[in-house]
Amino acid sequence: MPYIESISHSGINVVDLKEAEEFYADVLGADITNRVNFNTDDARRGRSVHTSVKAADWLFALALPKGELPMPPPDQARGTNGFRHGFHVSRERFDQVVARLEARGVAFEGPVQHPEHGPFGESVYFQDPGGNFIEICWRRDGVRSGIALDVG
Amino acid sequence: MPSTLVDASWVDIRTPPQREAAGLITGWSGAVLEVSNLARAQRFYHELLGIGSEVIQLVERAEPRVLPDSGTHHALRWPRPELGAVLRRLAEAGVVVEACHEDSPSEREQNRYCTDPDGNRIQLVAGDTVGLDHAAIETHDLEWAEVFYTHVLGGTVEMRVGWHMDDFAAALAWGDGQDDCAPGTRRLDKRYTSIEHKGQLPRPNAQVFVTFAPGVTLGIYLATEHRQEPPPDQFEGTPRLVLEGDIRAIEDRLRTVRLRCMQASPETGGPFERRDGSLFVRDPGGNFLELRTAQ
Repeated sequence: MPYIESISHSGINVVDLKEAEEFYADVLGADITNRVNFNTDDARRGRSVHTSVKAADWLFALALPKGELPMPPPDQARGTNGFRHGFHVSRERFDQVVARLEARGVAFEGPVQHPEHGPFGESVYFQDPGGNFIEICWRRDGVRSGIALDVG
Repeated sequence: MPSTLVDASWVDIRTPPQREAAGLITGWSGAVLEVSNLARAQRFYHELLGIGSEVIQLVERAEPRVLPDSGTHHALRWPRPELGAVLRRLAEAGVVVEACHEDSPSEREQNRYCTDPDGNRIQLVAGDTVGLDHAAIETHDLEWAEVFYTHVLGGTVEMRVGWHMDDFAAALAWGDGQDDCAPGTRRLDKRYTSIEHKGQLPRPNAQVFVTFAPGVTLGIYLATEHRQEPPPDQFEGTPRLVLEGDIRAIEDRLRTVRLRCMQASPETGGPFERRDGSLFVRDPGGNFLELRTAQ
């Protein structure tokens, strides 16, 4: 059966690798795992130019587009039709994330209160420097990953 | 006591920036270049360019290490009237001066390049005095080079090429033959796709420009070819760049701030050796440096 076995990674576009790396490290606590195509081996093989950042168990390949990158309006916090990457933090860390966004001057929507009897507590929504939409939430049921997901 | 027991701290791309070494390198002294025919090269540098051996020192080699198609180059500088005279002498001698450009805004203007009789690439720029204005080297690993030149030698990254979307858009014009870019600034990469075969993809070649003091800049280009590098335990060699600075403090940095990819000399405990009051250093890409006390 053609079952997918796990999530491998997301490839997302950014405008400036350095700026995006710094954002993911500072706001999401992500680790810069490696940069690809800043050595001759990679260049000879023609590998794509990207930085891999690991946010918890999610691997993002921050990639540079070849030309124009259509950017959403800077005050748009949620993706069109809800398109986004959502990450879970504990209730306690959630407040730290909000404080960090405020300290950095990142425009965000929220914290949004979810229905009381649902699995989600609160969420904030914002853009990364490449115009990708990110959500950070905490869950009442403590489910950490997408398993038993109810996006409501 | 063996000096290899020195208490070193290890740095890599994850090490946060530190400014302890800022200002240790204060200026360019010159460069040592390899040529195949000393007399012919001396005529070129001394008579055509009017550049003495205090700036460009020449050594004769049967097979000089010369990389004319790479980003490697030396930018020589003259006051504007003297530069005009140099350009006239080059034209009379039949030396081709090409107009192509690098990526910093100022080098859209300072865009004259020629090669010496052996293929060492020379940029011809206008400035206040006669001398070495800047130099560019290539390396097989740009990230280690950045770590070495910033953390150990105290430079700051002034400009990056190949880290921004706009650099990739700009490379497309070069790929279409509409942009005269200097060697080493762009490259054609293999394209991985099953949808349509488009051959090669024009890309910016990754570069980092490191500044040590006002006006003292080193260009570091990613090598687009695999090249034979000198052995990791050879610290003195040619071709090399000669820089001035506080060599006692630099020696201390070289011994105590270490990169996993660099070998230490058993004599000094760092990636360098001393001779005649100079420090001879091999960088992580196999480029040789000489560091002297500022005059």
